[in-house]
Amino acid sequence: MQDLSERGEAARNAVINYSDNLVKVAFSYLKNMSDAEEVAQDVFLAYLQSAPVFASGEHEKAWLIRTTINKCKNRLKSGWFRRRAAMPDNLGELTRDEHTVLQEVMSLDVKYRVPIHLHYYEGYSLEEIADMLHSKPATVGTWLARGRKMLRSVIGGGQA
Amino acid sequence: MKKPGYKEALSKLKMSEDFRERTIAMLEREQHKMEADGTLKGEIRMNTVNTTKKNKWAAWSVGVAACAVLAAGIVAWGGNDGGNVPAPGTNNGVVDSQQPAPPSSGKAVVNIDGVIEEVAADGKSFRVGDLWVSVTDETEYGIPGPNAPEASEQLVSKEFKVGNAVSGFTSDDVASGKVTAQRIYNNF
Repeated sequence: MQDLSERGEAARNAVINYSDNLVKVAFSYLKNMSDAEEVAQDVFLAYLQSAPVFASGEHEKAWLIRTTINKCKNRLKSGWFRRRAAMPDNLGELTRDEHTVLQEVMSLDVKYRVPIHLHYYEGYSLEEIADMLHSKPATVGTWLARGRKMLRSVIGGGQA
Repeated sequence: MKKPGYKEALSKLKMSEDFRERTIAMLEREQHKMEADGTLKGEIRMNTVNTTKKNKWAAWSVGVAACAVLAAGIVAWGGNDGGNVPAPGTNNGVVDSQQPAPPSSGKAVVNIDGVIEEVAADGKSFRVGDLWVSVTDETEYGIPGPNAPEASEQLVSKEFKVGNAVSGFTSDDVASGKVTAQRIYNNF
């Protein structure tokens, strides 16, 4: 078992290494940067408190993403959150096309949006995504294909 | 012109500049708090469980105390004939004769009542609380009257012993601390 100072050090390293990933995963769920940052902070707090043991850096990252997804789901379930505006709020630095792409991805159902994020942004395989989402690789493949098809129909390109 | 992809668009989204600093500061605060609490992994304090345990102990303690009080009450109620503890309700062996007698007392007036704590060497006087009571040849024993039980059946003895419950009547002033009994209703 790690002592508290080791756990603190591990949590700080995780903040430095994975903040961007976690915030973006949370953003793909919640469509809002402030909420995404709050969730990411909650995840790092859980990391410090529960001190999970990891076999590798990838294992650690997968745990953090999995925890982020769970916390996002919890937040989405809460009534006060559902009543909030759903559109992204801080997209000032994006070009018009980038803004359009992001809006279209965000307009997808969360079931398609999150696999797309994990696959195209984080670079996870179908098996890895299936493991994170507690689903089957074939199901994840279906979600990805449907999401891509929907995006093609609205942005006219093959890329997600 | 090539359309931007999701990855490019999302890469341009920036989290707050101070997010990492804020998060690390928050973690350090939490770490200090955990150090202060002595909390380690797997040892997160289950306050709810502890509270329940505490409540359980409190409930048991109250229950046991209540049983003890009940038991003491029962012993005091029925078992004071052998001890030298005054019966409940008696105070220094003196009954205030100024107070009107309760209806159930009938004709008998009792202003000597309690447990004998000391008996004089001659056996003719005894102490009930702070009151020394003397008996003389004129002192009458037992309860008189047409419906009274036979003298032999009454719980009154002419021999005074420490620990006996005694009640009687005197016309003397009980506040003086020393009286002569006109009547001893019971002594057992």
